[in-house]
Amino acid sequence: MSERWHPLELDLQWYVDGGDAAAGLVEHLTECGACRQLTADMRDDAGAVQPDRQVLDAIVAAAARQAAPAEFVAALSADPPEPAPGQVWQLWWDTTVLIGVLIEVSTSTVTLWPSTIDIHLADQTCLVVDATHTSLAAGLACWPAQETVVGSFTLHRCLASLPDQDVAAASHAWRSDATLPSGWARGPVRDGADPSLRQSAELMDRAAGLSAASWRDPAWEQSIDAGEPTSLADLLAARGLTATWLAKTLDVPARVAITLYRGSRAPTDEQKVLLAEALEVTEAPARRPDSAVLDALDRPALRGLLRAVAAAEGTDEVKVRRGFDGFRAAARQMEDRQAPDVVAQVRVELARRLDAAQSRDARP
Amino acid sequence: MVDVPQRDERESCITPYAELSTTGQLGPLCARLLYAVARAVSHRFPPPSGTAHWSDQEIETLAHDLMTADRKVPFAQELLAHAADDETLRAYLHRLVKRYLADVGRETTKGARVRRLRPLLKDPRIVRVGRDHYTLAEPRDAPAEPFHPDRLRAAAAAAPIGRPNWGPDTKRTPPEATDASTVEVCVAVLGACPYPLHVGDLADVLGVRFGIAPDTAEQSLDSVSPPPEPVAHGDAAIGGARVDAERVWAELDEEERRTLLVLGDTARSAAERLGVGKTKANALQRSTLIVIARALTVDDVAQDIDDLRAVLCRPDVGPVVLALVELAAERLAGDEAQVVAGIIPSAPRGQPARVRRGEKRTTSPTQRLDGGGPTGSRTG
Repeated sequence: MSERWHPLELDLQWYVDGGDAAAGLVEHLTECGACRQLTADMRDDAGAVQPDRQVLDAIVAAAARQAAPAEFVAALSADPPEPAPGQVWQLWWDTTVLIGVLIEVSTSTVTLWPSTIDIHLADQTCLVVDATHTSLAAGLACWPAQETVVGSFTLHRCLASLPDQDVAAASHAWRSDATLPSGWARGPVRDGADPSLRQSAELMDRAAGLSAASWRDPAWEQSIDAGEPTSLADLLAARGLTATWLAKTLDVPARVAITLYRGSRAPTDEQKVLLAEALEVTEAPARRPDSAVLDALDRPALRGLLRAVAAAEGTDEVKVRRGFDGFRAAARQMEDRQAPDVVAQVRVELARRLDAAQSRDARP
Repeated sequence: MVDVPQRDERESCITPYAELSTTGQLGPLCARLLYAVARAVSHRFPPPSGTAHWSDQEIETLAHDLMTADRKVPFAQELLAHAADDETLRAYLHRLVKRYLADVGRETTKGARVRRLRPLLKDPRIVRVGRDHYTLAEPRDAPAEPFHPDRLRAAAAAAPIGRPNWGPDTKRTPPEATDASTVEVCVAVLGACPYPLHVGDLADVLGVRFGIAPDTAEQSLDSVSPPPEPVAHGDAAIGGARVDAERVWAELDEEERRTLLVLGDTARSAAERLGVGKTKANALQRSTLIVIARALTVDDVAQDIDDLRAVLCRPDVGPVVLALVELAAERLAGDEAQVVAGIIPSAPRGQPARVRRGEKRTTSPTQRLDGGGPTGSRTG
């Protein structure tokens, strides 16, 4: 947590009320004057920590009139289908959630239009789909001009499907001023000072954040082991380090440092440990999984299982994914001589890990 | 220790998000989370009653109003569309509460005036400085006498205003003055101000000129009802504090202005940062505090430095001191700008309240209703 990314007010309030500090919060407070001031305001203000029963009842009663439509709730728990153009997905990575209409689908990425069901955010750069033409039980505002490519591993839930031909026609109409399909319209013109524009800009930031999402292990890219994928010489050159630095760090004579620097001599195991520590990289490159395994892990259909494994193992999604770095798909060919079904193999491996974790938990 | 629900719920099987996603509506867990977020976020905004702090009832009303506010889709559906787990639900609720309070702020009389002012401030004679400050494109010669905020009101009063001739059946609230005359008043006020003026402060001056906001300088001492409790944060407080800070600034000499940046430091630290001896640093801190206290007409100007600091932490004086420190940070050389907020009380758990060298304040200590402000979200 840095000064740039402030903690949530709720975490600050919890801390002020005497609870444990969230990770990094105390360090943030030592650096951030604004958050310190806010906590001071919170201390001065001794509002009720918990609402009384009547207040809760009133909120819950009012909430009953604000329930989500049944079909929308059902879509949340349905098994995710294979991604296809025209589908409306909820995307999720880390703390970023976004709705998007899929335009193109490839093996490991999808192209989408950032969208929202808050159609009051629609502006002149938007296409608006009428509520009667979606199964969302809500209208949809989408931004074709902000077309974004994201990893398919960010796809979380399929909320609805729009007719593929309608999306294609709308895309064409958007670019050519042709007539939009039935149920589609252009968004209203907004004044530059309209506060909703700030919210839609925030939406685009989220889309950009998703497009930068990656769970790939940096260790795959950098190691001190000569050879794949990055040699020690490359690493030193990239960081602007000299043979003199190498000599000091490893406490070796200059001529040895020079041969190491040029890559004509491999570092000893002991030297690798020292260098790994100094350069903050791994001693040897982690084995990168087959690209087919990576693609299989990216499938939305496997994400639920992957998260279940993470929960059962008491870790997070990223660690489970990275746990596949040594996984090799079986090379057995199918009878029809097509490529082996890597998705099925990964699914089996995940199910095995889930079973193992659950049986560990079940042991007395 | 107090029992805030959402932390307990994180560790239990049923969490607010699980409750929401399985039932499709807010139950007791979500209601409590909503209340907790409303309570936590409310500190960033002035309470509707105009008092210093939000009451329990106001927070309850906020949580309730937020949910029942006019929206295109049901509240629960909106939450489910924007959240995928408890963390994202909490983050979205924060955004929602902030957005709602900012929208409510825009609907106030002052908020409406600010919205009307913004397009008028595109006049070629006026330039925008930063996000919300304005000044004249061609500054006028500064008068010889020191600046006093009364000069702004005097300049506004000297500019004639034209009342719009709207019929009695008009459905919209008519503007307080014609666009042309409002621009003229703005130009007059900005011309009288030696520094860029925040649009909120400009709106305050215009409010007095149009006769729809009380002129605090002319409040009757014989008033039967007690004056409202000073607002600790909010536009009016910030605007007034900034103007008062300018006045105090004019009374400080160069050394004292530099001392503003180390007011909360120990003598040793102040000495190191000012490049003087400890005795001199202590004397400078003391003399600076005394000048500020006298300028702000604090009745009992203490002589002891700690007593002086305590006096300057009072709710009616604290914002001015903070504005003054910020002024110093803005106007003195960048490498000197180690903003010291330590004189403002209640740094948490004994941590020194300061921003380190070279760091940039990403938010002001208080938030403006019309300005949005920091997201408060944790995404990194």
